[in-house]
Amino acid sequence: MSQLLKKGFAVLAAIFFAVTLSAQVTTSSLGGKITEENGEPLAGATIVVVHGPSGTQYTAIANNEGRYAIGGMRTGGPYTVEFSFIGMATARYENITLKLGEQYELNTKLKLSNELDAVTIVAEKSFNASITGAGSSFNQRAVETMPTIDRSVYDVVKYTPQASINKTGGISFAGTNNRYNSFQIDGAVANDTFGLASSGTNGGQTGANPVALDAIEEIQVVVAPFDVRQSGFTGGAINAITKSGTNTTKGTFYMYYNNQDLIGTTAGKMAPGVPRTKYDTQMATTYGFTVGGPIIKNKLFLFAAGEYYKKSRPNIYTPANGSYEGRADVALSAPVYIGDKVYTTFNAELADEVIKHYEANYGVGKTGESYTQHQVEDKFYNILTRLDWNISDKHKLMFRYQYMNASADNYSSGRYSYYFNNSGHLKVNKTNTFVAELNSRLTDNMQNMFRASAVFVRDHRDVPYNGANMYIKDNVTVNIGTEYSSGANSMASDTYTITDNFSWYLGRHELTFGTHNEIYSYNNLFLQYAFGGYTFSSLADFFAGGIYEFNYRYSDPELTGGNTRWKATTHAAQFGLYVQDEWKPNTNFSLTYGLRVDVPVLLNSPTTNPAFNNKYLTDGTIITNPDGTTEFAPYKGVKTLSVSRLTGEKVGTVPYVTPLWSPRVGFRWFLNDNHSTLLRGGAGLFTGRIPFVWLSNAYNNTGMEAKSVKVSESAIKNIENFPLTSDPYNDIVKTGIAKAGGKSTINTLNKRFKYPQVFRLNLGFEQTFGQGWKFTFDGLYSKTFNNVFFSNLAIKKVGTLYAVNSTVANANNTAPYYNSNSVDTPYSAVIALKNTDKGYTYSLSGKLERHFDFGLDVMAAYTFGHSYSVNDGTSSVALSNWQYNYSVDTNGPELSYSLFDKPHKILAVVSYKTPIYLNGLRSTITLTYEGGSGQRYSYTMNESAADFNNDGRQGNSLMYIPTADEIGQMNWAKPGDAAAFERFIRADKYLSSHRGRWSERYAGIAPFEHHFDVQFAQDFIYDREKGRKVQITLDLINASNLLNRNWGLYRTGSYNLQILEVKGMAVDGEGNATPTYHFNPQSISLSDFYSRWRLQVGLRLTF
Amino acid sequence: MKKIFKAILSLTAVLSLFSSCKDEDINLGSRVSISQTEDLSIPAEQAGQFAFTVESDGDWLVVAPSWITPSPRHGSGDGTIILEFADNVTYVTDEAGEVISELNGSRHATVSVECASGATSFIVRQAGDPNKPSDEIKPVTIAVFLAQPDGPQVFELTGRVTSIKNTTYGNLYLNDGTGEVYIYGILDKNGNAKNFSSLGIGVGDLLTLQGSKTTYNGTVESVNAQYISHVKSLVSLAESTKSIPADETVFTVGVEYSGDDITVVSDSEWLAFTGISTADGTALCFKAAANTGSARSANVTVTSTLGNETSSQTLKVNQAAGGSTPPGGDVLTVTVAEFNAAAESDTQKYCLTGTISGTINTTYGNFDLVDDSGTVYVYGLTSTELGYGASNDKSFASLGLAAGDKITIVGYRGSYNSKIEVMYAYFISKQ
Repeated sequence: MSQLLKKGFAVLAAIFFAVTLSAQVTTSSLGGKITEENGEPLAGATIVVVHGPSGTQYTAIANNEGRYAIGGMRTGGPYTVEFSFIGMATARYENITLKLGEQYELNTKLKLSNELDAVTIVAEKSFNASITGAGSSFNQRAVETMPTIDRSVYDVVKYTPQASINKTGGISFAGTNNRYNSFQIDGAVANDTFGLASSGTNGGQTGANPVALDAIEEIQVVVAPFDVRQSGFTGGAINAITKSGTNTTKGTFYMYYNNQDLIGTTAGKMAPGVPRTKYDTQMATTYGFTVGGPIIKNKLFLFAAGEYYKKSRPNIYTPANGSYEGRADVALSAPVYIGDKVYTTFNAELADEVIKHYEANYGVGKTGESYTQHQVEDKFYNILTRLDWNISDKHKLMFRYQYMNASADNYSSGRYSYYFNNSGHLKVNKTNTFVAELNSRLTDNMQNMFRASAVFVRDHRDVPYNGANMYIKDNVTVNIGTEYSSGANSMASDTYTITDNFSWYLGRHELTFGTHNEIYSYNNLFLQYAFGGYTFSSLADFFAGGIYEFNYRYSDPELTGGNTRWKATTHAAQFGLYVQDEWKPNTNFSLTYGLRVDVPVLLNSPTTNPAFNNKYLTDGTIITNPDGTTEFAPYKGVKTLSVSRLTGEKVGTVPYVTPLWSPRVGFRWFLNDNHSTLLRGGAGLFTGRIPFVWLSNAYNNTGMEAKSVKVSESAIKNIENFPLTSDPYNDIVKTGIAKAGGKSTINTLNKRFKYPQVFRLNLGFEQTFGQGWKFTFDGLYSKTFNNVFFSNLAIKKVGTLYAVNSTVANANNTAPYYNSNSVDTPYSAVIALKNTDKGYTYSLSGKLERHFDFGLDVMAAYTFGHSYSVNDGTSSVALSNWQYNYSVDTNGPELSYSLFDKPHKILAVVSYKTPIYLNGLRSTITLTYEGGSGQRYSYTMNESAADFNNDGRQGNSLMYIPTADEIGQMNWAKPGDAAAFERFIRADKYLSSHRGRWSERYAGIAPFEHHFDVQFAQDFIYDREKGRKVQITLDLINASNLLNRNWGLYRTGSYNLQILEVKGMAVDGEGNATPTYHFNPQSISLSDFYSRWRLQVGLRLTF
Repeated sequence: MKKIFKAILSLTAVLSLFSSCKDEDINLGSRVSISQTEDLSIPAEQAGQFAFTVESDGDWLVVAPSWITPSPRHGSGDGTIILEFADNVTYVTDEAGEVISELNGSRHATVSVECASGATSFIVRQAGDPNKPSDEIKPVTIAVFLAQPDGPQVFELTGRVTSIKNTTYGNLYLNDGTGEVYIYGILDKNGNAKNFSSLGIGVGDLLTLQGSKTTYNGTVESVNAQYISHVKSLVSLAESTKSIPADETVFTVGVEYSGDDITVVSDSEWLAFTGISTADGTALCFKAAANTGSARSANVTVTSTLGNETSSQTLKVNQAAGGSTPPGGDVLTVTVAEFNAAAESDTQKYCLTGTISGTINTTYGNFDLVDDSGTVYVYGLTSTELGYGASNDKSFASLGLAAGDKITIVGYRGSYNSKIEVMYAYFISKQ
């Protein structure tokens, strides 16, 4: 028996950050070529693969080319692979670890042997993944050792060179909006497809994690997968898979804890005499467990995980402790007389009277209101169970169920405003996820994967009672009643997906035919003041019934079948079909080419608005003629062509059903036979989806269903006994006391609107060298094919805006001046969703890594890139996406830097795991560094005194950068303004080099930031054989701040800095406008919380 | 491959150099002085050039409006600046189609030379057509304002608010000691009308506004004056008029003051100031002797002082005539039928006695008043006289009246949507 232990390379990048790619995203696969020593293919050779921990067995037979392929395999390992053929020595490979979504390439040469049991044992080297595009993968060790306090998947994924965490909490890939990512757990949609949460995950609004980090087996990140099976994003895709049960019953129990004592004092430079202070009292605890084991050995396995998180802090403001007494600034503006008592401050007794008065007058009875100190509690729990069933060697079934229940307490009493305990609201999210996947080996060369998933998300605002909202604007603002935005605010989304991938191994070709289909349904309810809202100027007015303003929103029951709380419903689907061939002419080269088509469909239409769609402007009222016929009354008595007629936009239409094609081609080419140098790359189109809320906006804002009632003080005075009620529909609308009015905002969907598509080009280079070093380079270029574009059709250009003055006007210092007020439309805004093809991004990244056998892993990466766009879609509201897209011409914004542009990013990770010492002790320490360019921002102006370009929105205009000649010709409000502005321009790198032009969107960039995080884990192993241990972990975030309070500073994510104030606009007779400026610059502030160092203590029991 | 590694390291180092904050030498002067400091007056046309010198230790720039062209516009160190002036004219096309120039009103602007430490400047005044408004808004006393001819010229006025007639538009009287003028409507800082209440102006406040002079029915007014600023009065009374019965009466009037002290002076012996109560917030306490004669009134001056600043407000106390008869004098006692037949007037007061009926608006005191002769709608009944046009102080609830009560009130004959109403009514007694 000849045993040959080939000394290969250490299994290196398998541990950290191997840049990999890509196939199915829930499983792994194995493939290769079996030859004789002379290179002749060994057709008919047998391959038996066993997953050690679960005994799961896979078999295959080599084809005429000597090739084999096995798909749908469990990720991880260790696997044992045996190649056998009559007359040949069996080759056995051990300790093979398969990575998620990646084909492990295992080629072998069998030797002739006379001995029946001859076995060659080979340790495999790692450089074998079927990578074609940029990305990263993170295995369990990476997940466990990355420093984190939030225990979010993003805290791990951010170590992808092309990724960066936004200041708002989302993660952006290749400089693209985080709303354009795909996030899947076990192949089920885990991102917030509706798009309300800035973090981009289901439950993100409550700050909850969709899945416990401890339940994750492996994470794959792909930015440019040229495998057509991957779709649904134009940014990046995160594919996580959960752990599975094995033959050994294993489990963990863990807890994490932090409070204000584990947070540093105030960071940054302090003003003289201002002390550094401790962070506010708070406490966060996490408890969790995982358990996995066999139900039937080698056959059926169960894995379960659960996690509970609670964060709690007291709100110290309440009349119960005299928060609003003894302070002149919150003394009541007018005394309140009740019986023989007079109140001049908002004290406990008056708080009782407020409750009493509210309950007695507003028809709500018992509210349970109180004003004891409020404990603000955010909590969530999630549970997950997963079954893995090896039905046979040929069929493996996985089923997973996951439930998350999260609530965030939005309670915000402060120095100048008070909310009674039941007058805040809870944001509640419940997510149920079901996913089943069947992997079948139909024949030796046919493989099928079928997956179905269903995700149900229920978001709503929880309020303790339904009653009119009181907004009492005294020197301390007192709020009682149902929070004004929470009375009717819910979102329910149902997402179903069905996927089938059929793979056919034909000689040197692996053909894939597949379909991926998603069906969505969204129900969105949002009506502010749903139980009425009364504003009072003082507490005295509240008790005297002196209403300042009344507001109520409802849906028109005549259009909604009697429902005053109508929900906009959007049904949508996307059907995908694809075909692909992976061709391996030899063991050094493979080519993947395929074609995918996605067909997005909106299954229902928004309600038609006949008045809007009419040829002529109407005032929205229908006149009944004496003969019984009806017609629209002309707007202001004049027949004027409508916005709809002029622009072709209509309310009630949906985009045409258009197939979106995604052809892709990718290659892998080893430049030498020892496979130490790899060139890989590809090109193709990627089709994503947009946050459905942008479409749903058009269903909510039709100008039809939603009605708004606003009654002001002067009108209320003329109404005898204006009702005090929590049922405004019956008491105020139906009785005719007040009726709906006001200009509405309309959202339209352009018929030619297409989902986002990018063309992406990637070239990668990998080199192993020295004693286990690996260098990876990736160049990435993306060109926008379709992206979103928002414009407001209700405004029109009427003149010229002179940034300096009319006498020196030229093309560079002028802009369109709009007419927002007297535009002949009865709508406050008409936001049209269309496409743009402007925009591109590119990035170059280099990464160096090495695993040392004594337990050290090092990695360093640098990425340089830029990203350009027209509209970054930063909001969930269409109107906001238009109005906050900083621009010179709001309706024709130019291509400029994207908000997600991050020129420089540096990553470094050093992780060291000691050998076991002192009979059972083991320490692991991980130090990470993340450095990068700051947040991009726009140079804008404070327009609260005057609207700069009169587009009806303030604060959205970009600033003009005058030349030294021009600066003295601008109108300045104060002496010295011009010189101070000149000085500011000269000191700013961007402004000083772009004089005589408008500043570009997001041209400014905040300073570079450096952040170090550390994780230390101490193991106390009490059962070496079974790996049972107790572990204590310390996660230290922003570690350098612990050494020096001025280090590791974290700036807030300001999208704009207002440099000038527009004090007034002088408009001449022709509608041309000249501004008067005042220099009053804002600066970027530090985040008080994130700039401090923070520590979390953890305890974990592994059994 | 080591080379690649080195390349990455050095690239990283270079980048961190770039990213480190480098203070540019921005080179603006730290001081600047100019030869011209006094105002400069120039003719409307063909004003020629004007030169002045600059001394500075660095860069400076000239700020001037578009009708003044400085050269150079910016410079460094010492230098000379020459100003050229455009003619103060507008070009119009006359009836014959010829383009001719027409003089504008006089105008002025500041020319400033600025450096890092600030600006040094002088004013240029260019003459123009004296019959057109100047762009210069001069502060004037109210006496001077009243003496101006009516016209578009805008002036700046500063005075105390003596009474507010309308809180929606901001109709009020402004008095600066030299005279009093009626302001008919005040625009907020954004030029919006009907937003007066948001300005938070009260009687006694020192208000600055800009407006032009017009005369309406013999009254000098400034219509839609532009609000500039106001300084809250040091003292503010909850009521400016108080009506009390003929009996000996003890009453209080709420007061807020922010000065160091408060002085209360009554001009009539029958009305005595008895002290300050702090039990129900701060209030002034008065005692009025019983009245046996006809109705009478007294003025109380309330003054508060802080440093050199003094604010005062006047409280007018009206006491009813002795006995139970309604007040005589200029008030006509009428039946409802007689009231309905009377002419509308904002000066003639009528005394009515009747029973409260119909739906009562308890906030403003709106109800039907019924007597044997007929029914009339009372639109706003207050506990004390507030005067014609004053906004309702919502004091009705404090009277504790209910349907069926027989009451005596005084008010004006008015109408709304051709419905006859008793307007600006105040309560006299309940039987």
